[in-house]
Amino acid sequence: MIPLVDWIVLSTILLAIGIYGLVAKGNALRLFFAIEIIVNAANLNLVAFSHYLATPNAIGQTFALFSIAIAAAEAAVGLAIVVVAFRLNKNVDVFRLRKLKH
Amino acid sequence: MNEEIIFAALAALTIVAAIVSLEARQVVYGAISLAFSFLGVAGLFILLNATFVALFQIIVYIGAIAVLILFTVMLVTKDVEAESKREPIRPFAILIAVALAVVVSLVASFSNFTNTYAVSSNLTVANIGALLTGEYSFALEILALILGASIVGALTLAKLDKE
Repeated sequence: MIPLVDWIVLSTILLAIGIYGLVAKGNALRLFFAIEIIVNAANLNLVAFSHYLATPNAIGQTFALFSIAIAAAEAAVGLAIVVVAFRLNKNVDVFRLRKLKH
Repeated sequence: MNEEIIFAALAALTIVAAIVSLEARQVVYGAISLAFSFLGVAGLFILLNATFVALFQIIVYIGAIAVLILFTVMLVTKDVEAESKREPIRPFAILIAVALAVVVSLVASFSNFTNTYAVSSNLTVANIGALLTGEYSFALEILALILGASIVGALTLAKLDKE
């Protein structure tokens, strides 16, 4: 039997990896990977908590499904933005995408 | 016990693949590694008795998002990735991540989640369907609108400079 704390620790580690990626990486695609890892950690937490309820119900799983669908929408728009940024700037380093600043 | 071994293997796969996806020298390998990380999470969902969510995870994440990411990487990436200006922050970022993981794990290990175990349940896809068509049917409609809007947005962005 696996106690609930193992799942919490696992999703915390995934969250920490994602935050590390967001802080340390400059490539827009890597930032995208980091966001997806964080979303996965959140989904894992939702499903784990719903499985460990005293009277289990499917609400946590339903929320995870919603979250996955939102992530798909976010992926479509985010990757389109990356492609447009590459077309305009010839690279995807977020530190060189400063057109709005000037 | 078998369950613990499977959990440890899947957790290791997920974590290692997630780290490799951020640290691989070429972004293409990172994208493939990210797909393996998604697969590990799908396996963990099956271990949590959430078979339908695992199915959804494989179809949407590996079938759609990972492939979309791979296509984008091949369209966007040059042969050599330019050295990022963020390199000096890296030790700081590792420190933040490790501190977050350690602190939250410590807090969780002092809670009574340590002796919370799953009770047996027979949740099926029928329960999810009842929720989606009953209590959360309005949210489902909104979700359909969001997906449609995001597709229109992505198409608009992709055709931006053709005019």
